Amino acid sequence: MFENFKIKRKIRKLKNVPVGGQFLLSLRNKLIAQMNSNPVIKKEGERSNFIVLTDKLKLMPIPLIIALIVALGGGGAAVASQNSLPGDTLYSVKVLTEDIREAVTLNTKAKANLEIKFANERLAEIKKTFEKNGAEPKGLDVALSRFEKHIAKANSIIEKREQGGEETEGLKEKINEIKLQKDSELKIEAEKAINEAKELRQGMVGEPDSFKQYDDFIAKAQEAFDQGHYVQARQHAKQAKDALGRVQRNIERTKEEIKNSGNGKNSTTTPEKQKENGNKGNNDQEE
Amino acid sequence: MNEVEKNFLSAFDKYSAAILRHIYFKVSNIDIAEDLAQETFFKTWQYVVAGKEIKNIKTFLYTVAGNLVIDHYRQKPRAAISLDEASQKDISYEPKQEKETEQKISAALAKKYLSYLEEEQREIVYMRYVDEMSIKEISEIISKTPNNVRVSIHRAMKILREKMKNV
Repeated sequence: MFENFKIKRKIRKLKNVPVGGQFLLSLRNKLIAQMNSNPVIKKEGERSNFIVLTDKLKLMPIPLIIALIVALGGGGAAVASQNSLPGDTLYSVKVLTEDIREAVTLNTKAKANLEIKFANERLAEIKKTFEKNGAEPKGLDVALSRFEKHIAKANSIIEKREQGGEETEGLKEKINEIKLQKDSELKIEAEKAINEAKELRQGMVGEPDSFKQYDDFIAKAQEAFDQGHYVQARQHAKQAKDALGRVQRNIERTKEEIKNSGNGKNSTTTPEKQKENGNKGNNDQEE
Repeated sequence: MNEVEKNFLSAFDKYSAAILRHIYFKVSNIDIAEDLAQETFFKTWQYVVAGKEIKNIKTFLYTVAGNLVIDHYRQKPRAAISLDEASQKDISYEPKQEKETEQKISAALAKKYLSYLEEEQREIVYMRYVDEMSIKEISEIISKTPNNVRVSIHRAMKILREKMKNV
């Protein structure tokens, strides 16, 4: 029996293999980012077996998480992450610090205010993302979806406060104001994208049928814009703009080829070829 | 963060270090172990997102990790490396402190000690005494009956007792 004890003690030394604390912290942040970009969508009232069985697991105490972040040098990362944008390496740290703040705030009014504050932060990210990336903002979807989550959480808190007969007017006003700001921001960007697409289209000369696909995108963008669906409007306009941009580049290249081939005598490039290049743009789009 | 996400993160907090250590024990390379540990949690999350059923998150994570290790060896044949070399490798990456060096040496010796066992026995013993799993949990992960697991542990202990006498 004593031998068995000695053997087990010897084997348990394998627990001494140091595993990367920094790696695990970084993996945790990546996992949170993965959860945000790929969330679980559950039907109302549905409860998966996973939840039932893991309900037994106690959540890691918040002070321990904070201590872990600070101990592993994450405190600096948390501060540095505050200016990060969706898609940046430190963005998941920023989200983590917000989650911690959310978890430690218990007063419902303070919690609702915190959600509004975070929604404001997402709005600032949306603006910066547009400025930084122009027509192709990376991470916009993440910021928008998180914005909606914060608003939904704040609304849910307000609803509960109303049921309890508590004051909610100030909070509602703030939410309406920030939603208007977000719509206004998206509207400006959508309008800009539609105008740019229209401008590009106007610069194209050729058979109207060759450009039908792009005209359709622009029409769809305009329709979505008129209905107040600014995100879709910007997406359609962007599709038109990208495809027209490719056509324009093909035309420029063809012109260059004609010029380089000595008055075009030996060139096979013809107006038909030019049209073909336009169609190549179509095919690119379809791909 | 919803309830499912919180529960998943709490499972991560509880098992990630053990899973990483478990994989490292099998692949003897910290970089590969970290990659596979990351993949284990990402794949499991994908499983959760797909709405599939997970009866026991702990055994599920170990099963995914085990399958990934097998896939890893299938894709890339195991490098011809002796256990002595592996033990050297274990202690070769710059320890920061003397205590850490000692820990690594004792872990490497324990690993060498387990090398007297066959692969499956070694894994079962590791899960039982390092990961501190129950017989039932081990039997779920390796798809054997609890009785098979008990017998394997008994035989493994017998071999290790013999080796201890001879050392």
